[in-house]
Amino acid sequence: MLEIKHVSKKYGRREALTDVSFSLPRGQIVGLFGENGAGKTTLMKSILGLTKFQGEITLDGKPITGANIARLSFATSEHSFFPALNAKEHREFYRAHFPDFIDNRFHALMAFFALPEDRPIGRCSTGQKNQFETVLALSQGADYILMDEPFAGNDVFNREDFYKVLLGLLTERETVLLSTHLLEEVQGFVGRALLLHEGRLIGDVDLSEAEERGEDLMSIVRKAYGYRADRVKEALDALGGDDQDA
Amino acid sequence: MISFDEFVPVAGVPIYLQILRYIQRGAAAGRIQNGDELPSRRVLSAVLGVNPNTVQKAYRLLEDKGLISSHTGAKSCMVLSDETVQAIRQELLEGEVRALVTAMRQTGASKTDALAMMEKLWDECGV
Amino acid sequence: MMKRLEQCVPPGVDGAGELGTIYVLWALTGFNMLGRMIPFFEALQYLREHGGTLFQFWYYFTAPRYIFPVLVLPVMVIVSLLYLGAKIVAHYQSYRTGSRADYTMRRLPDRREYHRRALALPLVGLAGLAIIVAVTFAADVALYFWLAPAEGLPSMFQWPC
Repeated sequence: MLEIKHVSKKYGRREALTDVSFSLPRGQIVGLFGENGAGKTTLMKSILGLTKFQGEITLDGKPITGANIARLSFATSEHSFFPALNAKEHREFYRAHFPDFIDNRFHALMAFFALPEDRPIGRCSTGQKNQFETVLALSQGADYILMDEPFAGNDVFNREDFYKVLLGLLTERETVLLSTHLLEEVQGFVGRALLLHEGRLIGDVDLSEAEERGEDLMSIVRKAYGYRADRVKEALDALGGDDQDA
Repeated sequence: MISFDEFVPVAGVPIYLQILRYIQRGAAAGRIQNGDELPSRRVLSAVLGVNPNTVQKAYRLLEDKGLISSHTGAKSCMVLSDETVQAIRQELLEGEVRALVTAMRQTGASKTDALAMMEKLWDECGV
Repeated sequence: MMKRLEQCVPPGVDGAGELGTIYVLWALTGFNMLGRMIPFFEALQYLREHGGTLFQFWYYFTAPRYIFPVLVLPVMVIVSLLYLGAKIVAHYQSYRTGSRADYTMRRLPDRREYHRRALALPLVGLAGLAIIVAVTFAADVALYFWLAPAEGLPSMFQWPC
């Protein structure tokens, strides 16, 4: 169980995260949603120890240290691979540092994405880079896979295929925390939605339960963020009084 | 193994209910027979691109309705008898007709006009 | 050997090339340090014959350059320090160029890997440099003690008044 307890983070005077608390058990696929600057990336970096924060983050009750950090993996749109190394060399590096590296999953995903084995990753296309980034995160052997907008730059067919492969790959013991703004797309894919707004957690929704109440992700999000459907009409009204078709 | 190639998700209806309907329609049409195997939860969730919990819910619903039998470790299979299939046809028919009647009443048509229209079109639509 | 070298630099950095450059810098520093002993030696010889106040005067103004290299570092030592400093910066930068590989390095179970790879070669270069400077410094001092005339020795600890 990954527990985030009262986590806050300030950049100067700006509060990037304010008192965020939630738990991630094993085996969940969780969507992390929020506008730009809501704190999604800061939250993930805090979990991974890539940035300092106030509050506590524990994995099965223990703080995250060298002893257990291999249980967390990371895929980011900023890319965290080594551009000068090719896929084979990455595999060697990962196998050397992450004892639970899943070799056959690595090969299966490389084949699925048809990624070249011998080309330095830095010289691949953006789409291929995104794909390789996720291949590494999924093959590390982690229990909690954190993905920060991993599909920036991939086309929709690519992404849909990827969700399906992911669902086929993941075991019941693996948890994915996926931050994305592609709400409609991942609606069916995630089982739980964490809603971040200006650094605060404003929603933690079990989508199965919501379904029972007749709510879907989009309606929940609209409500939570106070989205007003009439603002388009308001804007048009304000722009000009001509109500007629010419 | 039951194929979900023909499954087309629609917006507005929970996926788990759509899966139920898909199975029911298949059974009613005779495409799905007693003993046919369903794909495993994980495979179906991957094929449809939906969360495993959704598939779990659908399968549980099918089990509650006595349409499938599940054993841990083995794939689930259909449990269909002539009576069950009849019951399903009735349920589906009632669902369709209910929706149709509601729509027809909204047009302001009378029962006689509606039935007459149905007589007229029944054979026309008989493909 | 190549493998081990690869593991001592950030992934993708040319470790063999850097090590080669370090060897060259060491050699050049060695030559630089030894090279300036020649005029030092000649000066001491000359003063030994002509000694006296001239010697004290010379000692106050010139000898420190040869005996205490930290006061006026020879060129190659400065160049080497600049190179090694630049390499440290470049190594940490390499984790952030073309991608944020530092995100991966900083979440490795081996907590020291991130710094180890950035600092290993430059610190080795620094250590070698320190040894060369220390050895030649000792040689300078020995040379001084050997050649300085009697007046020269106590005045090493007295400023001329």
